[in-house]
Amino acid sequence: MRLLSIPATLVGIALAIIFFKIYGVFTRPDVPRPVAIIVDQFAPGVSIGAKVADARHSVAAMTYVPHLGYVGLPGSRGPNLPNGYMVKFAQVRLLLDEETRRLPNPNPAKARIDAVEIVSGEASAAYDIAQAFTMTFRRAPREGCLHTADENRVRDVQIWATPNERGGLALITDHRARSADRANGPQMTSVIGFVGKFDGGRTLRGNYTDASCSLALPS
Amino acid sequence: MNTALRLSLLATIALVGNACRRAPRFDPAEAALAAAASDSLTVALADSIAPAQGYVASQAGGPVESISACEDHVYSRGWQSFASRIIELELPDGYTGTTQSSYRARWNGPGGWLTASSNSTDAHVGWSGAITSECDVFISGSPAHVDLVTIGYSRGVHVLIKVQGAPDIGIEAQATTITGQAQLLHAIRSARISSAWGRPE
Repeated sequence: MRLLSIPATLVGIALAIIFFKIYGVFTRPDVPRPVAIIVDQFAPGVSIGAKVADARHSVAAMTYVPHLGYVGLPGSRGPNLPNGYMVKFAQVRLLLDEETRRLPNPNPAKARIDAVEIVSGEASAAYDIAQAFTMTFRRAPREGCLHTADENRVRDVQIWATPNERGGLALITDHRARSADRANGPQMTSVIGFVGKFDGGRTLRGNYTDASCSLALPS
Repeated sequence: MNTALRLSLLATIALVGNACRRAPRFDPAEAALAAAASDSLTVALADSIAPAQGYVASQAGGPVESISACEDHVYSRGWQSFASRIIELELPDGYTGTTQSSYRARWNGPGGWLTASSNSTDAHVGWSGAITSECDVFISGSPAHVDLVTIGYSRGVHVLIKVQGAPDIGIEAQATTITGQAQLLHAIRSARISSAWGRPE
């Protein structure tokens, strides 16, 4: 009798494992929590996966940019970094998937936000945000470089992905290696919150390489 | 046992179905258009906010007589960090902290000094001198008014930061040269309001 109960126990354990696997698949949030929280901190009222129309009260002066998505001014709730610090964001971009952004006039009531980009022109934004992300994810970022149409203008990229690569955050900032570069204009910094596995230029909407920008520029 | 088998079968189908979800098609031409749209938006945004940060398209040659309060081109790598209960900032080499209390902090350097204190007056009140330039900016996320002032050979920077939910902060800095004035202006513009400011000790 005791021998017969062993297979039954094994089947029970297997069933329990399968149940929790399925339960996890169906109940896990679409957007990883750290990504959702940070997007909401930097662009209050905006969330990945929501419909564009749902964000219309949170994004002022929203306009559609073909091949990219909807662009506008983010709201603010005061300090958005640990210890009461704040980065002021000048623009929020509700990025659409490839199929939707081809349309000349997508319907905001149907178009879903595929990723969110928030842009700041503050000089210390990249440093402050990188510190906050390192604290949140408790690890150093993966580094890369975004190339622009101007071959002398490249942008440093730092990626923090969730442990199971269900999403992540990309911090992109103008590469300023020399002091003379400071006179070129404000140092622009973007944060892109995305879901799914990081897929280089496809995720970042740009020409991305894994090599550091220091290697990309002619010396 | 039959029920268990059915459940296992359903679970397997669900897991396999989830894994076999078709990845969206990648179109390099569309990706290039997206990259161009993103890049041009960033450049346009940088151009639109540049004047507010004091950047100009071109500068005439010759010696600089004065600087703009909206301007901030100083290179500060290697400067020393200082903290107080009012602000945290970076100052050029040679500066040291002197007075440090809950409501007042002062730093002295070889070519100037800087104080930060609680302020209850409006901008342009409580000091004298000729204003050479003024600008409204954000410092540590709070709106601030910056005045550059000349008194004889002294070059001053007066800043009033309107802090939400805490007393306003007044900052005064004096330098003997325009370079020193530009450095102190940069130090103030890139300062952070301490998280302790406005909170009881």
